[in-house]
Amino acid sequence: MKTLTKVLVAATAMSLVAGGALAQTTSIGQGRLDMEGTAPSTCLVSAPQAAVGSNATFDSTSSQQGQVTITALADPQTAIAKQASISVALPAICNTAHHVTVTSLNRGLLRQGGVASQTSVNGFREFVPYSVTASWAGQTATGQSLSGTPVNINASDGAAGQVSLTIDVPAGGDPLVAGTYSDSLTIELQVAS
Amino acid sequence: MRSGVVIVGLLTSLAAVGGARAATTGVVPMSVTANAPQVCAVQQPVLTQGALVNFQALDGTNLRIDRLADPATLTTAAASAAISFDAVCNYPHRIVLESQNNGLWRTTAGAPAPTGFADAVPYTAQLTWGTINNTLRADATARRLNTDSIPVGSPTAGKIVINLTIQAGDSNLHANAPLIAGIYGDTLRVTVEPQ
Repeated sequence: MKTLTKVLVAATAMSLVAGGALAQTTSIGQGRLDMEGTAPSTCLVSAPQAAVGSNATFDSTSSQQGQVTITALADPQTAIAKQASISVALPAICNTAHHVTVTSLNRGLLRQGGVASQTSVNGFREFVPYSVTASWAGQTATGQSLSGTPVNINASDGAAGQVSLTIDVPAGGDPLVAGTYSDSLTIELQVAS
Repeated sequence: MRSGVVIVGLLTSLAAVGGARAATTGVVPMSVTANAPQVCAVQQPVLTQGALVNFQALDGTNLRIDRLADPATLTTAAASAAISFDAVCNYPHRIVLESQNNGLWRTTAGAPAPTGFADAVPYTAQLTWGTINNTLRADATARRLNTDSIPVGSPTAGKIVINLTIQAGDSNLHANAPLIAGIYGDTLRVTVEPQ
């Protein structure tokens, strides 16, 4: 009996220990996933979709290039430059602050083999400067091809729509030397650094 | 439970010894009880093999989208991934899936997106846990907590699988709206807890 009592005491003690070790607890499990992605700062511009001209036409030559042709650069009776203009709209989008620049390679329409000078030689000239106007993101800028960068627009945020670009070739001045006149305009939308 | 068996054996032995001396039998009823605690546990996320489209590898809890925007259009690029968490819950519980931002929102502070641009990307998180199937749509209509809570009537162990899907062109503005530049993010939490 004495022995049994000891066993009972021991058993009770064990029971208490078990109860103490396994007191009711409730644990909660939680997992976490952090997702992240970046929309990079980008500007996109496409070939013009529409053009309106006077004494000039526009043809899209690729997805990123086009050709403006002045129908009659000089009056056939006087060889004096005739007025010409053309407006083109280029679909564009920039999803961050950016700037738009228009640069002229020759700083004007230059006769092939000629010299880019406003000074006439023997009463004739072979260089025809013109003006460029661009509208984008609520801003309009006009400049002369002579500057090399006639248009520079800074946009403080993203913008989407169409860059409206107008080229105006003025009439008048000394008569033009016969030949083919050309220039290359580059319209660039660049993410602000 | 094992301790209880030992004790019963000892009593039997003692009774036999007592019988030799006095031919009496002692019967002592004993009960041994123990409780298994209520446990819910969730492990770290892992990628499910072969289910990764336009996501990079998982780094801890971080899952990066490879290209959030299509570089040719700046619209949302499609992406999908399957993530699983080893988990156990030994009592009837509920599973809670929570999107902190209700979509992938720009994490960089700044002005609202300019006209014509989206600044959040919706996604869906389809959850499978035991017999439970549920889809949380983080629709990015507003930046807020978005929570789904589903009761689970029985203990469950296995994998919590979450299939993440971003639809091409989806945004908080309109279909195929361009995304304003920036870093977009959201935190998804899955919790198993008492009902």
